[in-house]
Amino acid sequence: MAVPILTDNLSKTYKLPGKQTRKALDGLSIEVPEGVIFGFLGPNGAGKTTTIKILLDFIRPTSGTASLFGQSTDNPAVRRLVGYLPEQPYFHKFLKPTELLSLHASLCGIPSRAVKSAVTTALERVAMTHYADTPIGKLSKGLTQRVGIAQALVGNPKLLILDEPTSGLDPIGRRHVRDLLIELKREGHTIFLSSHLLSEVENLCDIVAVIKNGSLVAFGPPEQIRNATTYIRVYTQTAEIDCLERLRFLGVQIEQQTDRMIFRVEPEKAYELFRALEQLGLQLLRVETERESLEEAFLRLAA
Amino acid sequence: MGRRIVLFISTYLSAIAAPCWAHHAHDPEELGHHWEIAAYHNEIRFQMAAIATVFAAYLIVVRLAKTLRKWFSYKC
Amino acid sequence: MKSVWVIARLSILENSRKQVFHVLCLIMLAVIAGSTLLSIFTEGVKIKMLKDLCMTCILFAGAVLSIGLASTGIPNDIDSRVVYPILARPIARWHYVFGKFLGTAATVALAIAALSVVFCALIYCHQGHIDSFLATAALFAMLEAAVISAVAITLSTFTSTAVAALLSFMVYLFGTIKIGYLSKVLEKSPNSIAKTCGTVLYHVLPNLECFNLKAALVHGNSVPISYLLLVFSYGVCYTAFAVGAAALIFRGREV
Repeated sequence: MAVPILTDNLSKTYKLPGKQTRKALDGLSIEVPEGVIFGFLGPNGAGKTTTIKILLDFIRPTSGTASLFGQSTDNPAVRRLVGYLPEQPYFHKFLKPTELLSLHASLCGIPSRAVKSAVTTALERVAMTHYADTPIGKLSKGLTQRVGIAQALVGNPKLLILDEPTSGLDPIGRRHVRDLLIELKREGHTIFLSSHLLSEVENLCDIVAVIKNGSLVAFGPPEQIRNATTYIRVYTQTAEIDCLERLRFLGVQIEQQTDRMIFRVEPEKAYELFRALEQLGLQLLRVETERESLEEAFLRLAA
Repeated sequence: MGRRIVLFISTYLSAIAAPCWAHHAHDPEELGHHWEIAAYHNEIRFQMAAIATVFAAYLIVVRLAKTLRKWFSYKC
Repeated sequence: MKSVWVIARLSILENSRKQVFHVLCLIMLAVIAGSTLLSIFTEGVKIKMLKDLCMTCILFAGAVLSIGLASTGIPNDIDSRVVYPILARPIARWHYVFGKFLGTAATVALAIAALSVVFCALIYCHQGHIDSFLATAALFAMLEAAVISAVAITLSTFTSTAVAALLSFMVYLFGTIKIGYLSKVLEKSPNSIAKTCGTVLYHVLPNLECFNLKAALVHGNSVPISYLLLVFSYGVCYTAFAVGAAALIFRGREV
């Protein structure tokens, strides 16, 4: 089967009032393999929502192509394989979760006799059976978000496009969604996850794409995105500032705290640092290694 | 800006439409029952013919575009 | 096609919760209250005036509801973002537009039917028997409402709610007077460019007056069946054409 999501040199330019334009996407090419959780990261205005909108045919690209399971995104039939959770989902407030899900099940083409079981299954998966008959307008933001996730799960789609799925959820709800996503991945679903919660993406995603100003700046597994360089952190007793200036030539980052000094250096320069500290007569308190987190990598890439 | 445009359009169109009510109010007999007036029959028939023509033209253009697209993709 | 019915059903549920229906109740109450004042006239005049009042109300309510519901339906769905989960489903854009139109037209038809039943009862109270032609007149009022709804939906696919409502109202206004008034204005126009543009506009505007059977109901005139069939076909054709145009425009629209 063709890859769930493939974009090739995708560009989108919005026309603004007057003769101004704004480039939201600039030659974006990504490939999302089957059965993975794909993290889609980028600062606000980077083009994440624009990409999702193109994938779902809400808007059309200015140039380039996008396909879902090898079919053009403008083919409505391909969306039978897709479940979508918009960012801050809005639904008709007068509908009850069961009514909303029944409606979406019918729109998915599920036969009338199977609608009820599809709705029940989706509600059970997000632990919303207690609120099945409460109008959506009376539900909290977190519960509405869960209804949104249930709505995306109706019809058991192969690809889930989730825009900030844990937004508005409490830690328990967030944990529940995380477990659900892992379970869905195990079942063979492909998940396209756009999120600002980097720790969540780091723990969940198999592949991450970072975009900035509409262009791809990093793509690969989280461990590949994170800087491969491991730093050595050395803690010592406090020292005079002027004698520390001698260490600058090593490219050492120095942080002075009230009761200690922290020196941060690349591993290959560690030996020279230790020698210099010995010459300065500084007593070592602790030595540790440090790895870049995805959040730090994101800040570095998106800055 | 949008509100100003709406206000302008509504004022302009209302100005055009205003005299018609006076006309309608003072001259109802002139119109008679519309099912007896030929202009109504003619206009209905004309518009239905126009709709049919536009629809047929649309179908022809769509079919033509499809054929040309196929032909070009085959050539390429 | 199942998705069209699903969206139509949702649209009916949505429309029935809108405040615009309060207008309907007010109209009903106003007519019922107004009918008591007609007792100062002689019996024949009273019945005629009552029928005139009822039909005017039905036509007016049909137009107001059609414009109010149809011009706000799609833009509101886009503004409130409820359209996204729906369009993310395996449905074509025309399914959505057609469903929205069917839902709106059905809501207005139900409202007209409710008004007709109330007014029928009112006329029965005054007249002593039911006038069956009221049903025919109400049916054609529904058809007129369907045409207005279709035009309003077409306009709402590329403009904002306010502009769509305003333009729909203008279409209703000019569509009602086009043969009696606009044709005469065009004949007298000295400017050839204005005349040409006006003529094109004249032929594009729906002929809404032909759906108005108030005079036949009030005066008890008979309307030829052939004319009724012609008008019915015209209403269906114009509505289908306008909804088709709306679907075509919405297909190309970015949401």
